Amino acid sequence: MRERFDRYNRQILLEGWGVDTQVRLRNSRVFVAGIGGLGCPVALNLALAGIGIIRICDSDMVDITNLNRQFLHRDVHIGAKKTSSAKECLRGLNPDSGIETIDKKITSENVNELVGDAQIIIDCLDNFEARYALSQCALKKGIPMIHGAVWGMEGRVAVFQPPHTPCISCVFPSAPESECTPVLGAVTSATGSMQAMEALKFLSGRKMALSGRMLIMDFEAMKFQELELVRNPSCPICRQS
Amino acid sequence: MARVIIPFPYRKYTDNEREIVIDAPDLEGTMKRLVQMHEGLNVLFEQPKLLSIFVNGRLVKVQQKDWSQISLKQDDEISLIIPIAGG
Repeated sequence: MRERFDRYNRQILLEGWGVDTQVRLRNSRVFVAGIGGLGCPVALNLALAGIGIIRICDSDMVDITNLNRQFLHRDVHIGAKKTSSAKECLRGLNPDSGIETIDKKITSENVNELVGDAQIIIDCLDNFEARYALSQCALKKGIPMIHGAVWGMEGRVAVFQPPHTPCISCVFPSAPESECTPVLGAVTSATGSMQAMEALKFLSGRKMALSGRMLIMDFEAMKFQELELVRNPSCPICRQS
Repeated sequence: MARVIIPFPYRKYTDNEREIVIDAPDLEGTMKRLVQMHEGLNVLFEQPKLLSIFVNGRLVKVQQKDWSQISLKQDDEISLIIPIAGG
């Protein structure tokens, strides 16, 4: 037992953590939607922490323009499936973590099946259509969804867990037009790491600090805003929950 | 003197300024003055469904026509929030 958990010694030392929490993480299942700028730091931190099953879902192939921030993919992976290169890298970082891959686009039709028995959804997507589908799935399964988004030097993280909190549709009822957003790798790394932090708290039985709140991080000015999110009583997704 | 925090995608209209300080008694006056100072920010109000306004971290629930009801104090922080898709 001791040898098996030596890898995690420094986190087991955390107050209130211990081997029991580590066992809990080993038995955990997480759905990571998107393995791009945010998904890479999320999956990296979950794998290093010893999460049992990390299910990564992305239908894209690696492109050279991804490589300024998506550090699980390398030059040799250009043209390959992102899920394959991410799995290869993550297994090298921690062979204890089980990496499941799904090379599909998330839709409202397939989302429940794709998420399966995951205990938490981490939204690392780049479009709102799939985010709304994930949100409906999270509500149906009664599991939290950790939202992340970036634009330029700004990163955002929020935890949606209706009926205790609003859902993403309460906060953003309309989707913006899709665009090629400017972004720096350090911004996605920091933002994704914060998403992973909230997921690890949840899976280890701690309180998620961003439940029902959104943190907006301006990495240019290094100033953070904290917003209290409120439910929309006429929200088409969560009003009946 | 309230501080309006400009969302990142719209800072091109404020010469990359993050915060605009405006002296107005209420939200309506503040927004009018903001657009007078930085005309390009009109785009924020062209798609009202995309914009949420928070004062000191709390959502303003009233519609645009009633913004004059939201009085502002010295050092209030107004956050203009739009959805961003990047991941």
